[in-house]
Amino acid sequence: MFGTLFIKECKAIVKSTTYYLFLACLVLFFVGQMESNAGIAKPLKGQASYGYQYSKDPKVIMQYSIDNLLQEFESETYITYPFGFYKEVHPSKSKQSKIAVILSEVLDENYDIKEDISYEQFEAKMEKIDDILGGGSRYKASGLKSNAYIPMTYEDAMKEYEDILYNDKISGAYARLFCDYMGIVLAILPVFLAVTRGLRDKKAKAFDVIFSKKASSIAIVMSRYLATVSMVVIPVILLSISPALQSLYSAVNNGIKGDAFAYLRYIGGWLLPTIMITASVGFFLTELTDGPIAILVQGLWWYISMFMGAESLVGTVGYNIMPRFNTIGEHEVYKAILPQLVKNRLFYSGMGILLITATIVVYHYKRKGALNYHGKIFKHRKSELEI
Amino acid sequence: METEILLNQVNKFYGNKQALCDVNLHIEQGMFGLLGRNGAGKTTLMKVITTLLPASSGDIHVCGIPVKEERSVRSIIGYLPQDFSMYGNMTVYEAMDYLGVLSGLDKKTRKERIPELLRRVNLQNNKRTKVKAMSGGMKRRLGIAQAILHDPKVLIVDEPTAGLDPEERVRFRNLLSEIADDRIVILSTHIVGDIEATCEKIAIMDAGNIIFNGTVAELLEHADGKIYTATVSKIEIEDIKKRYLVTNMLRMPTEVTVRFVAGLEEEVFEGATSCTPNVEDAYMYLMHEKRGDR
Repeated sequence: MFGTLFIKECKAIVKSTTYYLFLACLVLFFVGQMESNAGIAKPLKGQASYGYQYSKDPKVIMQYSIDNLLQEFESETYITYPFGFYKEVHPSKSKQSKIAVILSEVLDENYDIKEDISYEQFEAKMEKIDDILGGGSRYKASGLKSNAYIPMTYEDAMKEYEDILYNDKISGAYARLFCDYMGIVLAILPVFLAVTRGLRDKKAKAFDVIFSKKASSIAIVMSRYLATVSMVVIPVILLSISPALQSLYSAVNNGIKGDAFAYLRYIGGWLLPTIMITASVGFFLTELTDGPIAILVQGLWWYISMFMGAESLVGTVGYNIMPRFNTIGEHEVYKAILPQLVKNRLFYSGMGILLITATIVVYHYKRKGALNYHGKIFKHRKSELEI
Repeated sequence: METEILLNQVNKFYGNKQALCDVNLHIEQGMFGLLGRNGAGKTTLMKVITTLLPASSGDIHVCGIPVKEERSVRSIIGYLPQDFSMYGNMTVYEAMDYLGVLSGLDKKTRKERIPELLRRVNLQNNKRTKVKAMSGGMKRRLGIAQAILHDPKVLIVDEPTAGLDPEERVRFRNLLSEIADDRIVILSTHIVGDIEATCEKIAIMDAGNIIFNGTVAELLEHADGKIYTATVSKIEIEDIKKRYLVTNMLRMPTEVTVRFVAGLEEEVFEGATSCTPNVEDAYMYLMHEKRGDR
């Protein structure tokens, strides 16, 4: 019976307008964000450019940060992104003086960074400047490294090339970028499908007749949840086919055998937990409140996560719902964050399962009228007050 | 498995408000009517039997199964709620099929029973009609078909004829009577005509209490000798309405034929003659007697 219910739920999703809006957003985002996968080519000596990378050298980071700061100090205009929004800050004279004092502590008379300043001390000074500017500036300690976007040398480019080729088999490097982009939309869009499904019984006034049927609450809720998750995963897999084939083609051109299942593994391990938690937030809050509040809650969570992750677009994981990895390659960074990433993904998968279990419990009790206190908590059952 | 429903000292509270007061009922196979004004507690009682609401106290057994065993009870109950509907973009067949799956029916059984039931409720030509395009009467018929899809031992229908035109109403009552041949059908309504036409046994509810439980004949007997009819002038009618509980008035150009309830102790005016009570008269008399209102 569960299988039949699941298929019926999938069919119902396919027939809904919300699903087509979801697909349109997904495809538009994919097309708009994912550049064409041109594949990789071996760097040649004497090339005009080998591309760019974020420097890991503290001295370089410090120098680039100071260069930026001096430029902004001179113009008395600082670009900040508080909560992700662009803002030009024109500090008062007293604030400019405070910044000048910090600069004098960091720089010598030749405007070079003092020899005896450690990177940690430098970070602390920059953090103070960020505070003076009201936050969201490029001087926040955690985002300093994004100031040092430097050209790669031939050796850097060769190392990167070999990493992509032998460690990522090309596919892995591109799959991470795919997950980075798709993770952004998948942390919000599935909530719309979940809320629509959750409110469908109420809208159709079908809850009482469905409540009175023999099917277990587990079967009813899980068939809806799994159908939603599946109908989100399927188009994501379909969208990944084109970049996956391009990666395989590029692998052949570079003389190696590509990894045909890399995208599937990344989708399963990286994107599925995001879909699970987003959908389960939608199902849980909708079942609990009989309203669309989940969209607001998830929207807020998405917004905060989005701009927390924006501090550094490569390798920001922590417990952010959408881990960021906005680059092709950087296998070493990926290796370094992998344990954190696994923890993050397991955590959200677990949370997703927990919330959908809670949804089943809420549904079960609503079904037998046990959560109906004076008919006021769940408005759709208010008619019972009429007795 | 015995075909009966037993309710013993059932109470239901919504906070401080008591919706069911010590309800005792024994319902056997056939049509059972539950009559009462709006707000009498009928829907609450239906929902308690259907496992959609928990009783605050008391015992309920549906065909021998305690109502707390929700899943078992749900498997032998068919329920048509007061404002039945289904997903608007589903067709009649899809809605039946979906609800059939929820009732635990396999594909073969659904394929056999759905066309048969749609024929029975005269929806065989509407298999592909979307639910949102159906009239109120068609929806009720679909509601009945879905409620008996899994061949339940008990069918509970809540106010099924409200809002139907007279023709639909008659058709619907007949359908329920047919269905009641081999199961319990509980028909909850505030429309006396529905009960009169279909039920042999009835219970009347008022403010959460069962104020009558018996056969239609017993109810009529209860009102025997208390119903009068008279033809009076239009001027007199206001005075009669003040003195008696009027159950019916037929206005003619200069006169009015009136039916009214008069207690044994009350004297009736000259020209009034005793008449045989109908169910509506008996119901009104009972309510009048219990509540003392007019």
